[in-house]
Amino acid sequence: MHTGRSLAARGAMAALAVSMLLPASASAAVHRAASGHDTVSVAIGSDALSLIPDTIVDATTNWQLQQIYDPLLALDGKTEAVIPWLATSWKATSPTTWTLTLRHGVRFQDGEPFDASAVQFTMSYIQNPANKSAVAAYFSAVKSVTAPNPYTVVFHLSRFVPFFPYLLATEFLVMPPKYIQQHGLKYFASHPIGTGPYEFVSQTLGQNLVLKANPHYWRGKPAIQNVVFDVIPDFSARLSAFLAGKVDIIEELPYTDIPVVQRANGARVILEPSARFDYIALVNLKPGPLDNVKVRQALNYAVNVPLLIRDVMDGHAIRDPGALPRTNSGFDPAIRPYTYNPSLAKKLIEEAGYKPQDLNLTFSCSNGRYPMDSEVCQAVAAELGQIGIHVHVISDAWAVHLTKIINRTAGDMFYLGWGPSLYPQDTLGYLFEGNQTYSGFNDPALTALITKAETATTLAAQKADWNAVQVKIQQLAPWIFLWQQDDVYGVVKWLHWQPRPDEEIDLFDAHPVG
Amino acid sequence: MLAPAQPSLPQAAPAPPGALVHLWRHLVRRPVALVALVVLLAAVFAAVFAPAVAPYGPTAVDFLNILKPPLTPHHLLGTDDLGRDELSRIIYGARVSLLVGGVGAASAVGIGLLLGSVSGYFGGWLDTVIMRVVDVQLSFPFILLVLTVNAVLGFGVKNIIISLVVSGWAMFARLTRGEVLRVKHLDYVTAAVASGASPAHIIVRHVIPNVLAPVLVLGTLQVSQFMIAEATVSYLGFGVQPPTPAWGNMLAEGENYFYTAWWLMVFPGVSLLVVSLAINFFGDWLRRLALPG
Amino acid sequence: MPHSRRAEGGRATQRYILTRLGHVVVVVFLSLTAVFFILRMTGNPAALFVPMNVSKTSLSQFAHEFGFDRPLWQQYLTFLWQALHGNFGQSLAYRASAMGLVLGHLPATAALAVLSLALSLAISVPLGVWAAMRPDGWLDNLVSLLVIALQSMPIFWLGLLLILVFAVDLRLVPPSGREGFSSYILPVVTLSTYTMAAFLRLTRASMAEALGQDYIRTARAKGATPARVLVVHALRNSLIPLVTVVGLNLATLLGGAVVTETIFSWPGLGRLLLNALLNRDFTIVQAGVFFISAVYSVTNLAVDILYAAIDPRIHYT
Repeated sequence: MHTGRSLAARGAMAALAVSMLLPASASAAVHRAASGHDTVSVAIGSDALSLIPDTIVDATTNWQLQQIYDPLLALDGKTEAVIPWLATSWKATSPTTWTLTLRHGVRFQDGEPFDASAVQFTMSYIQNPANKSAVAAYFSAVKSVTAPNPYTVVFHLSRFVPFFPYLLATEFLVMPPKYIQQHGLKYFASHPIGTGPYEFVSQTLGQNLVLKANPHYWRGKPAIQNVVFDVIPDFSARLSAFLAGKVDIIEELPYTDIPVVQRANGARVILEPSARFDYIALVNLKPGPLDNVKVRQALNYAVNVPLLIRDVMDGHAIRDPGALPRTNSGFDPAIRPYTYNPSLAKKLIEEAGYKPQDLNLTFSCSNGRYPMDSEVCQAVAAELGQIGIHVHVISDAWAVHLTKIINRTAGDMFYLGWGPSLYPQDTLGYLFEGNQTYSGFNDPALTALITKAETATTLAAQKADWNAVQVKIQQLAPWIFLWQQDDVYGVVKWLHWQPRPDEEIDLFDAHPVG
Repeated sequence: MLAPAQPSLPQAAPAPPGALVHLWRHLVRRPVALVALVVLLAAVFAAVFAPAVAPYGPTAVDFLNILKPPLTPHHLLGTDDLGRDELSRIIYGARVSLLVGGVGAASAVGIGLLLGSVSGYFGGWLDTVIMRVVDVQLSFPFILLVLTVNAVLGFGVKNIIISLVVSGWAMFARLTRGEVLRVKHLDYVTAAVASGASPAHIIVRHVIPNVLAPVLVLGTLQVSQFMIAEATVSYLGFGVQPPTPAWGNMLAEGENYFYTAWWLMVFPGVSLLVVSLAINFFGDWLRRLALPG
Repeated sequence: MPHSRRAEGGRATQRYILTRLGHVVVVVFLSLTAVFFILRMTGNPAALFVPMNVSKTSLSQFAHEFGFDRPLWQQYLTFLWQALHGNFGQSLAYRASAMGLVLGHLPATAALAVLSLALSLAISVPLGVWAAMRPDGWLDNLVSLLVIALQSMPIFWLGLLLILVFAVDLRLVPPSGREGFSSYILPVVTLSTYTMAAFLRLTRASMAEALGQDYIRTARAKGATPARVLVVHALRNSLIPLVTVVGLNLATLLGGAVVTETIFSWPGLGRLLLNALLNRDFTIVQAGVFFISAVYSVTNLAVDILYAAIDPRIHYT
């Protein structure tokens, strides 16, 4: 391990930066001014873009809004299973109706009681075209929401949606009907209230979102009185702010900077396997070598995934044997990963009627969206190059990369992350049923298997069907299967806080150590 | 260090070899400009013959030698996060920088010269249209315009050159137009017009040679401005994308290693600074030579 | 007759200002039109703002709600009509008024711009004047060197090095954000280098020219003190071109702000626009372009009028 910058180099840099002062501090030390440990600052990559929930789709916005609002159901912070929240129980009372019992005694932060009318109001907000909610797509099957009594709601759907509780847990933050009717949406957008653990104090776009504890929260008053989300878009600037003691929690710490935080006083690193997984799609939508299953299998044999995890990901990823990550409730542990075997890869390519040298593949990659994404792509290209395949890597900023995938101009291969992957439908269904954009893959037999799994009526039959789908995908090799990466957080030592696999930032349980 | 401007080139230029000798004498009297020229030629040489000069390929991944510091055996400037040789990447990065700066500035000057002379020479509605377009362009921050054009065209070496030319020609057009308006009324130009020479002939033979000196001097300086702009835009993620090595995107990647691998952030920047300084010192010398006073 | 000539002059002034205002409108209109069509060359951005796992019908429904499914000319006319009423639409990402967002991010940028302009002038004017007093003296050479160094410096890199040395290593100032006086230091220093080279060169050149003029020699001959000659006579006259250049550098300053704000995580207009461009949030880019080209054109008009007012030799044409 190299030990940071040498003195000479530091001197050179200082000289370049107009000054000849030699930096004195040998190692960074994290210390905060004596704030009594009642305030936690979280460095975050971007603003909460809208303070009205259920409108835009943006993970970072959602993490911040979850402090102010509560969902009807929630996901367990470790297992990612659906658990009771504002609703205490849920049940499919028929294939197309879901009945939920609501919690008593919950109030919005202005005192307005929470009951069925809030659920009905929230759904009508989402489904009103005038609100242009991007979340509406998730609830397109919902025909109506009825309330037999103030603490029971019934969702009437147009079709069987087995994963409906997941949608209520991830895409449905409850809004206060009376407050909004009284003040209007415009006022609500800048003075939001919910039933959540924290109350809104202020927001300065591009700078921060300030919250304070809700003393009447139904789970009890949070231990941390004040929460500040500091907007610091840049990786290294976030780390600098953390090392300078300006913030207490940082996310997306680059793997190479883990030792830097570990060396710093008063700071520690927390690793959490993410519920998102990364893959390399092998596009089979047009005739060509990737149209051939043997070539796709060969590419899986030619990439040494464990080596990439060790050297490029610094060991911070868990290999996924197939198309589902371990966090997914449908994960089939019987699936075995492809083992690195370059000579078998060459043989398969020749069996398919090609020579490795004939293959000339374009590989689109994001740059900076996922940890080490661009580096992984270049390393994969180098590995495929070792058996003679020509891979042309094109990396782009995220929005450009995503646009290319959507327009199906991303070429033969592309790199993408998908998550949080919680139940089979949210991954296998969306990625493989029919001709799907985000896999660039189409196989009628596979589609038939998926349709069968989706329409199965018993849980056991569903499980068996989804396992069959996974075996089929493994054999078809539509992707180079990669991994679930670790999310890396830097946290001050005085704070007890636990990250979650779905990358939400839950501060309710955070408290000073000791 | 910067002595007073020397007398300009003799008006009655002797035979070309003599002019070169003369230029050379000027150059040796100014060690700074000489050093600048040497640095510049070295950079161009390295860029052109990168495959021969660079010890490794710019994308040669080596997992056994990740993030080696400078002066490691076989890696003079160290290696990056994929074990790629930093020196080789800087040499290949010079290709992008010099190509973008050189081709970009030459094209911007060319288009600016042409449209500026046409605008100034003919006047009328053509002048109005061209100058309004120039106004629109100059009312917009240069770097933001470059970013917008790249956001639309997509990212890459070719598109960044286009974006720089699109954003940079206006200044030269305005400059040329001003010079043309001045030159138009010189005796020999009016004489040429009176003798019935075609506008194209007059522009090419009389007008452009007269405005060439200031435009060329500014164009030289523009090479470094374009190089810096390319690096800035690539740093912001709108320009040359990895794995193609460019000093700007190397800095952006290196920034993630702020705390652990300082060399990734220092060497590409130093390279850019040094080549830029060379161009500016050389351009300054040219300016004093061609435009005394 | 002097009286009527003055009235004529007044009318000429009015006509000049009106024509120039007309130019401002044309320039702003052309900028808006250009940016509208250029942005749409990249296609419909709706897919970037809906979840990845939704059906195509939901996607087209969303595009419809934002009007992206209508013919381009209809979108353009609606856009112009609304812009004429000061309505630049809703941001796709923020779901708030695009112009409101632009104006909301303005104070942070304005503070940065004004302070860096002040710093740049405070350094370059005295230095330029001093250099001009003894042409080819050591200071003059030093200033020439400084100008070249500033022109050659990749300023974003300078900003990064400043963070590394003064925020990370020495911990004298915060590395990012806008909180308190100390957070202004590095961004202001960085942004001021964008304009310093131009100001230095211009002050030095116009001061050198002014000092060579007859009236300076006359003033000297009349026995005015050197300080008086310098300040009252030479400096005042050489400040006139500087005013213009400050106006022209507004665009440079805003461009520099884009870069500086990104490096220092500064919550300003530049970063807002950069992100909007990167994420294809069209309405913010359009509102920003309108704002920038309008401010720039009006400022330059004001500078020209001011210029003519200061310098009686200039006539409106």
